[in-house]
Amino acid sequence: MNKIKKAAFGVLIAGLAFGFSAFTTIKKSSIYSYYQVTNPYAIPSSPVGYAYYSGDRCEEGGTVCAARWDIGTNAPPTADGQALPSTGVTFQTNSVISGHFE
Amino acid sequence: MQITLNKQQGLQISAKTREIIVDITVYLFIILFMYTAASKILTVKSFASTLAKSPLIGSYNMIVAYAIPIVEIIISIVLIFPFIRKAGLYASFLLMTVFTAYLAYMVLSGNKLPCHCGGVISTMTWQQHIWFNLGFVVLAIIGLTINRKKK
Repeated sequence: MNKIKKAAFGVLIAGLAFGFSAFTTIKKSSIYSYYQVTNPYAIPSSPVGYAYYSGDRCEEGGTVCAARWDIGTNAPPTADGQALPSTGVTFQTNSVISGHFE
Repeated sequence: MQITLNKQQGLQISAKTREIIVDITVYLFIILFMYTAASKILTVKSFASTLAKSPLIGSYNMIVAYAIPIVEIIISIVLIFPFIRKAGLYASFLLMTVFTAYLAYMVLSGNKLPCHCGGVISTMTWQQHIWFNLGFVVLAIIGLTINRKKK
């Protein structure tokens, strides 16, 4: 491979990595991270006990600190402490962050 | 009696193989840096919030939260161009060493560890993260060593 081809391939790799990361980070605008604020050992897929908080509020110790939920047509959370709606929400598999809410 | 001194030749690798190893090293760093940079930029508030919990970063969290992905993107751009990739490999080595030293300090200091690291690594424990970073430090050393021999 000559140097121009190497550079072109590098640009391609960089673009794909950036794009893939962006795609997986922001998959859907109706998906939000909610923190399990009442029981760090709750069943992750149960919507009970979850509340919205911005930023990182997890600390070590516990099996479920936060998980991502698709809130569908529910109104997006606007302030910290808003509970996860009890209906019309879908748990996102493999989105659980272990630990406990601070 | 004649003593023959065998000159240590070391592991013989053809020039072509060396070039391929350096290329793969460079592309792996580009993938790592661009992937994590995008993830950090897109979740910058969460990333800054995590950094704010660090005793070493504290109130500089916003500056660091933006500086890290920017530095990662700059290094990736430097690595893309073959005529300056050596500088990129040195920068990659330095950055990964700093990251690893930071992680090792956090684990060994006994400070309370934030759980969420973001991006690729959000599912890794801090100890796994250290080993992951050390792998890339070793990769950078291999790339730099082979790149030097190539000349």
